Amino acid sequence: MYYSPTYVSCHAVCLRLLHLTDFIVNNKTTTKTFKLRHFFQLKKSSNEMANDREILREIWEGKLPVCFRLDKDEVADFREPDPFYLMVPRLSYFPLVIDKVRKHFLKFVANEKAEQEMWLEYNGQPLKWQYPIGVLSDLLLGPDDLLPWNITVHFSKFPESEVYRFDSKEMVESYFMACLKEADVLKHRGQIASSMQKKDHNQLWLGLQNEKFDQFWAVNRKLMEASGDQDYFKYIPFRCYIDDGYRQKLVKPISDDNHKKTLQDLLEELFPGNKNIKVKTHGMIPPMETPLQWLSEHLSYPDNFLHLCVV
Amino acid sequence: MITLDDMSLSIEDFNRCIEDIVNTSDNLIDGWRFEQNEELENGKYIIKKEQKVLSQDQEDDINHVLTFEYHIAFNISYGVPVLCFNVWKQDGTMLTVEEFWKLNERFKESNMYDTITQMDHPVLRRPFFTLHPCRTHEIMEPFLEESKNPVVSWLTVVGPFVHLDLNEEYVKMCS
Repeated sequence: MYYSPTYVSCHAVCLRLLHLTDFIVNNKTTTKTFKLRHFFQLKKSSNEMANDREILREIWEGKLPVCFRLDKDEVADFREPDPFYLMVPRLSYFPLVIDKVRKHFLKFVANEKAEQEMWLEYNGQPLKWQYPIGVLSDLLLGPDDLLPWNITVHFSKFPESEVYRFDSKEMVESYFMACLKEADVLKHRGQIASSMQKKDHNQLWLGLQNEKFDQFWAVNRKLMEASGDQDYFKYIPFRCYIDDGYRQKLVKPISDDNHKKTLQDLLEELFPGNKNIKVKTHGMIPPMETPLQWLSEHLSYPDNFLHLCVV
Repeated sequence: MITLDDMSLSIEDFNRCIEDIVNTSDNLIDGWRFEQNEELENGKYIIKKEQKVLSQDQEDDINHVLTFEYHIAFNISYGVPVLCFNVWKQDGTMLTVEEFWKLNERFKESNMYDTITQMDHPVLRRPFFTLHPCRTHEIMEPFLEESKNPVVSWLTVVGPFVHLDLNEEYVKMCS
């Protein structure tokens, strides 16, 4: 597939400009929406939508500024700790990026709490950090919320019935790999993930953990191809978040009469009779007519699932 | 067609199987009961709560009184039943995966992180210890034709790994 040079350069400039505004000029959470929406508008003119590395990288590089504050009731020192600022990758998981946050606040909490697992809260709700960071922000941040994202840090009363205990990075890895394998079961009956070697799995995990796009995609590419002589995945791996949980359903990327299904079709299958549902992912609302196969190949999180949040 | 393979358990089959389990349980007063989220196609599942006294290993003379809550639900992606559970200590806190492992001699040889992991409950979407479903199909396949209740047949294989014992009345349902 190819597109015209004019298209590429215009697009690249646009992205660069918007990238700047994302965090400096306009600190509202909606900027990314404009950027990706713009991308989709450009895309409409192009018939072939596959193999687009640029959008993969754009999604990969998405970051959110977060301001962590220790819960006032947990401060055991006479000094109030300073807040801790961090740029976190949307595609990562909080337990992978908060070692420094823990270290920063540890000396301000009572000694007996220091051994306990830290957890995070926003607006009175514990953050289910088993979900990728970008998903949590899509679920919890409204259009009027300003960045940085203000998150409260706790050391006591871990909300164990809602939040995963990730005592070690290995446990996050095990959860992540379980999601990735499930996605492959949906796409290729699990044949690609199970035929991979341990080193491939490690490469995916290290690529995500160390934020190395090339390292991750060198392996993930195989998972994101339709296998054999097929042009499409068997089913589209997705989670659609609603009512404090999420829905899953077996949805095929093509209809029985061989038409490409769109996001609209997916939502109609998931919520029959409800025409007005819109979903958000990566901070933007993708157009309803986006083909599912393309959406899955390009806007899936590293766990290979599309994470769609009903707005 | 909702199943991944021609030879697999449909949601309807699964629902029938767990209904039979609850009926037998009612006769035995064994404690299995239904729960349902009507919004989901795989919304039906069954629950059983049980107190158990376990010790860490042969040398450990401390007995741990634990409350197990078992759930059997249907995983849509894999098209298989899943056995998930949580365990509470007497002080009301939940057992961690490592703590559970220490109490579980039977898993010594296998990789803890691959066999039992915390996963989202297929209906409740909250963390539960789960026997990973990736091998369930393999275990179930021979039962799909032969057993009248493949869910029970599968439970007789995997239950012992998580201290879930089945009365033989259930096993009779299979033939």
